[in-house]
Amino acid sequence: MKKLNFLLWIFTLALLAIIVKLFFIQIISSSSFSQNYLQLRKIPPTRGIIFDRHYQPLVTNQVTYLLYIEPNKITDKEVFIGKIEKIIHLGKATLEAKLKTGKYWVPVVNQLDEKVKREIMRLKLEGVGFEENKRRYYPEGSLAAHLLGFVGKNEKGEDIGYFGIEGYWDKDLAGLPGILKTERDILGVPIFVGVQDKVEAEDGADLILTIDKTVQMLAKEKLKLGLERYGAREGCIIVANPSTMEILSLVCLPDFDPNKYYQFSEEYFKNPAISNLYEPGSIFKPLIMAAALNEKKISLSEFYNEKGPIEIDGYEIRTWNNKYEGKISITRIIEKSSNVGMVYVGEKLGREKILFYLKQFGVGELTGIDLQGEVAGFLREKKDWYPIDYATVTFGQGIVVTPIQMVRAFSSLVNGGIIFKPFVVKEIKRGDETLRIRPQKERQVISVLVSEKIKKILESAVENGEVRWAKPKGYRIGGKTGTAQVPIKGHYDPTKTIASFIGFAPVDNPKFIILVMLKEPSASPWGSETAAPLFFELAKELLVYYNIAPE
Amino acid sequence: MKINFKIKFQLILVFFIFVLIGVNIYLFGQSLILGEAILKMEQEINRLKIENYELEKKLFSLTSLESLKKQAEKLGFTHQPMPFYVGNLKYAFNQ
Repeated sequence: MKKLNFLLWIFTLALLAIIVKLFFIQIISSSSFSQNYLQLRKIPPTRGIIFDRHYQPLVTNQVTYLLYIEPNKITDKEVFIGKIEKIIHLGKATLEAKLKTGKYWVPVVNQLDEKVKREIMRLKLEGVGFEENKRRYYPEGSLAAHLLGFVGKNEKGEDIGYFGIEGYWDKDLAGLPGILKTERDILGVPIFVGVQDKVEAEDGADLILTIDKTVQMLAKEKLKLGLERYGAREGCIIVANPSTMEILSLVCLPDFDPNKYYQFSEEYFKNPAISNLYEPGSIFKPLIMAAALNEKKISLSEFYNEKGPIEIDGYEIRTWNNKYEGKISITRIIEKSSNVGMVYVGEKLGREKILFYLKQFGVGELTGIDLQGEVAGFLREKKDWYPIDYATVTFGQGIVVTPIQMVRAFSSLVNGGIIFKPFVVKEIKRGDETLRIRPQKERQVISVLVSEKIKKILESAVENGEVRWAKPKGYRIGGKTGTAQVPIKGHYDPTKTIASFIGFAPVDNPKFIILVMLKEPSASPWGSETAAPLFFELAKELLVYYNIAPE
Repeated sequence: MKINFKIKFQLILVFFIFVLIGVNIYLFGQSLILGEAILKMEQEINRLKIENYELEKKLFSLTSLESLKKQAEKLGFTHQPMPFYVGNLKYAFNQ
C-alpha cells in the first residue's frame, strides 16, 4: 500500500514538473523557445529559362556553392591551407588572411561547381561548409550577350536582371518566393506533429524568343569576320522578319561573356543596336523617296537633271563621288545614291511633309522593343529646323536614329507600308499556360503600291549600283548602302565613317531584312565596300538556311 | 470494501499512466521515424534537383552550337555549298 502511494506521488510530482516546465516554455518565454525549433525559411523561386524560337536553350540555371570556413574548428591551419589550396587556387596568403580574421564564419570563394565541391568534401576537412546558390548559365557563351543581358545583384544582395531580356522581363523571369514554416528538432529533423506550413514558390516564367540560334550564330560569325577584315571598331547586325518585325538575330560587337560579366566594364553591357544613336546616311534615302511617292509629289516616270553641286544657305551639297550624270530617272537617284537628287525629292515633298513622315517612320520615338536600355533619340522641334536641315535630312544627315529604329522604318517600305512594333519574346510559358505574343501593327505609313515601287527601286539599286557585289545567283535582292560621316565637335570628320547596308530578300515576299553597320572601318570608309559584302555573305547563308529557291 | 476500491482505483491509475507512457513513447518514436524519413526525402529531392541541373548543363553544353561546331570540324564536315535547284525548268522532258 505504502509502495503504491509512493509510486503515485512520484508520478504526480514528475507530471507536475513536466507541466511546470511546459508552462514555462510555452507561456512564460514562448518567443525565445519558438525561435529554436520554428524555422521560417524563404523558398527561392527558380528563374525562368530562355529558349530560342526552336526551343533551344539560351539561358538556364545552374547550382553553385559558396565555400565558407569556420576558423575556430580548424586545428592544423598549415595542413588545411595546403590541402584546400590545391583545389581552389586562391593563393596561400589569401587563405591565411581569411583564417586570421578572428570571425566564426568566413566566406572563402563563391560560384564553385558541383565537381569542385565534391573534391573538397573528399578531403573531409573540419571547419568547411558550403552554401547552395543558383546562377545563370549560358550554354552558348556570348552568342547573344547584348540581347540576353545578365543577372547580377541589387543593393540588398538579391538577384536582378540587367540589360536586354533579363532586364526587361526581370519580374516575369524571377517569379515569387514561397515560405516554409517548419518546426524542427535540435538535429534539424522535422517534428511531424508540429507546424509544417508551406506556401510553394511560384517559379519564373520561361520565355521563348523570336531569335533563331542558328541565324544568330551566322550573323555573329559574319560580323566578327567583318570587323577583322575591315578593321572596324564596332559593328552590329540585325536580322528581322519585315512582315512582323520579329527579331531573328541581333548581334553587336564587341560584346561580353554573360557567364563572366563581372570581368567586363560597364561600357560593354550597353546594346548599341537599341542604345546608340547614329546618323543613318544614305540608307535613309529610300524613306524620303517612299514618302514623296506616297504623297504623289514625284513619279517613277519623272527625270531629274543632275547638273552639279547645289548650294543651300551657303552650304554646297555634292554627290559622294562629285560626278554628275545629267538627266537621270528617279530610280537612278537611289541607284547612284545621289545627294543632290534627294534634295530635289525633298523639295518636291515639302518641309511639312518631311517632318510628318519622319514622325511616321518613328524617328525620335521608342520602338517599344522588349529589351532593356532602348533610347528614343530625338527629333528637333519645327522651329529649330533651318533650310539646310531639310536638305541634308533627305540623304540621312542631321538626324539620328538607333539601328532598331532604322530596321523598323525600312521594314515598312518592304512589307506593304506597315510600321510594326519590334519584339523578341514570342511566348511566355508559366506552368501549363502559354501566352503567345502576336505581331503588333502600329500604323500604315505608305500604301501597298508605293511599297511595291520602292522594292523595285531597291532591287535596282542592288543590280545597277556603283559596285558589283557577289550576289547569290538567281535571287532577287533589294537594298541600299550607306556611308555616314561621324560628327565631331560641330563638323564631320571625313576619316571616320559609319558604313552600313540594309537589304532584304526575296524581293517579292521578303523573308528577312538585314541591317549591317560597321563603325569606323579602316580598310575602306564606304558602306558599299565593307557592310555590303558582309550583307551578301550573310544573305547567301540565310537563303540556304531558309531553303529559299531562286525566283 | 472501501480500501479495496481505493487500491483498485490506484492500480488502474498506475496502469493507465503506464499505458499512456507506452503510447506516448511509441508515438514519439513514430514521429521521429517520420521526421527522419521527411528529412531524407528532402535531402534526396535536393540531390536529384542538383543532379538534374548538372545533367541539364551537360546536355545543353553538348548540344550547343559552339560544341557542335567544334565536333563538326573535328569530324571533317565541310561547309555547306549553295544548293542547286532544278525548279523552273525551261524544257519539258515528255514531248
